[in-house]
Amino acid sequence: MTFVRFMAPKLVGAVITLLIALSLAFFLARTAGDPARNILGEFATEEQVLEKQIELGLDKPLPVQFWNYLGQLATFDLGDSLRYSRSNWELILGRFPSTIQLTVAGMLIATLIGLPLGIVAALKEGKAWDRISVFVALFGQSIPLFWLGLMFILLFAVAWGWLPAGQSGTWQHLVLPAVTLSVLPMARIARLTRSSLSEVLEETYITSARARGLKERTVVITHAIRNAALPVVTIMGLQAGTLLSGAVTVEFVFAWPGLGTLATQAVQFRDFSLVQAVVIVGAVTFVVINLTVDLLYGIIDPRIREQGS
Amino acid sequence: MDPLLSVRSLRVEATSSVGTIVAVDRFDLDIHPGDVIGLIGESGSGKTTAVRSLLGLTERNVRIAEGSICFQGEQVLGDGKNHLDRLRGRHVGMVFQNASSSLNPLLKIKTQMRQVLRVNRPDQRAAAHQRRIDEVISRMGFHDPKRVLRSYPHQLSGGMRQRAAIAIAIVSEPEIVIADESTSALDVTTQAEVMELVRELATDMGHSLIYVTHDLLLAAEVCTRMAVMYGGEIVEEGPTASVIAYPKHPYTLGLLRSVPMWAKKAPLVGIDGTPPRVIPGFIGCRFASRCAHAVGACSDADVEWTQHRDSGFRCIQPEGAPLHTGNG
Repeated sequence: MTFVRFMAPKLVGAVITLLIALSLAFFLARTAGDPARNILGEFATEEQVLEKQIELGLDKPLPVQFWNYLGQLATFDLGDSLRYSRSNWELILGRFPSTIQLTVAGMLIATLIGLPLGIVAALKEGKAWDRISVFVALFGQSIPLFWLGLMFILLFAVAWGWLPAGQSGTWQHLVLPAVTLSVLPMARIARLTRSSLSEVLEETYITSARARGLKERTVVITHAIRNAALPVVTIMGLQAGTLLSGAVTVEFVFAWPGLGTLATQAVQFRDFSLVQAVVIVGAVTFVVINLTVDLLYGIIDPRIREQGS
Repeated sequence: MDPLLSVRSLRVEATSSVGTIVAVDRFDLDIHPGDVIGLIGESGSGKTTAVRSLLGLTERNVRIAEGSICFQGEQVLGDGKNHLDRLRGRHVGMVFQNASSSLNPLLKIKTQMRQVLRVNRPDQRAAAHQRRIDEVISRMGFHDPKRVLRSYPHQLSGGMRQRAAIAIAIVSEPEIVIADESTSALDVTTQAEVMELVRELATDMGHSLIYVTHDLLLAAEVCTRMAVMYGGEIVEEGPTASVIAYPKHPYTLGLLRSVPMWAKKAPLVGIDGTPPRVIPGFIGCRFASRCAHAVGACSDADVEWTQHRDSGFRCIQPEGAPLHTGNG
């Protein structure tokens, strides 16, 4: 019951966020010039353009268009792509799994390396391991994704031929793009885990846990790490969002057939309907991730759980 | 009777960017079963560092430079040994100054109590642990002990949190309980209540209590013995009644005169100046610079400890007259 009361306002907030994102997607897609003209090209006559506008419903006033758009969305209809003449749903569903595969793999690598790195650094503050982790974090945060991706291709694919340079299919195809994508969130996770944990280790309740005779392992795992987890969970949630946008670059570099590539092409061809649909799917994903983070908060910290009620 | 815990020439140093200071020096203390010892001193006197050192729980920049500690006749510190971690929880329990920060905010009170029993009484079964938890919590004076067990720290009031912290510290029946300014965050009525409770719980079982405080009045009410600290050293130690009635060290006298209730007709007097920064190589009485009775000899050499029956002090110009007849 506490949980329902805790999550209810978050759900309302999520719906509002989503509505704003949907509106933005709608209006932004219409700021890039007249879609009908864009589709038909500069040599089309006024009559042809008008005809196209009527076909697409663009002749109606903007509020009416917006109302129709919302009505469409309510029935889970994302419209049809202008370029591919297929339903946007179909196009996105065809690409979405690839992107999810890539981002999940990237996040997994980032977490599996970043967390232990940060923990070791905090426990060995000032020692060699700490220095290494701080260096890795700094490196990972300052390096541009596209450059790193190209370097990986150059070394692992072209020079040594260990891994494929692009496209998808086997797990080998996943390695380079996933690792590239993981570098930034890994660095952030490591850095934040380190600072959060070393702060918690200075808390009185940690000394107090030691004074109770608890083993150092228990002190670190059940007392320190759990308390240090909150900011780390936050950053992981935020990173998952950044990862989705990072995927656009990485997918492009590695010719990964995901949502990012689809979006890039849609923008290039001024397929406003498809751009709009991709933005909506991205927004929904982001909101769902944020809700998950909120839920995790409540599970970790009883104080936050009660704030909702 | 052999002492439960015996500390000899403990010396603790703290190093910071501005250099090393001696936080605790020449610290000798014997704790017998049933003792309630008040470790009295102003902030910076080294009392907290001293008791934390007993558990090996000093901060990162603080280290035990010298000294030996015996527990029940067995050496746990000194001669290259450091087994202080064996005392923690099992033999010595500690209640910290502020329960709000010494309780893990993410764990229920019962979880924290259970953890202590699991690690310190591994020979007992879970059912025995549960009985012990129920027993301890029911003696803490809660209206609804069951609810306290189910609660997270933030769901309790300040006084309740402090009681819960005490319950956690004593649940595994340590022979010695250290209460470090454990009530100074509470209001006066609750303070006295909680202290009385701690004393009762500790001494009922024949266990001992070290009560670290700057509050002389409160200490006098609950302690059987008093040890007064100044500049990292114990300057006077003895049975509470004799320390209060016949203070030997000018600092003790100064402390007593700064308590309104005892100064009585005599004017309330503060002690001028501040405690010294004791650096390695410091020679002489630490109090000399603030002492009205100081003579040249006070600063020429370290002052030795004078023991007379069950009291002792560290002064070459001890007070003769009892406080209440007034000599000022």
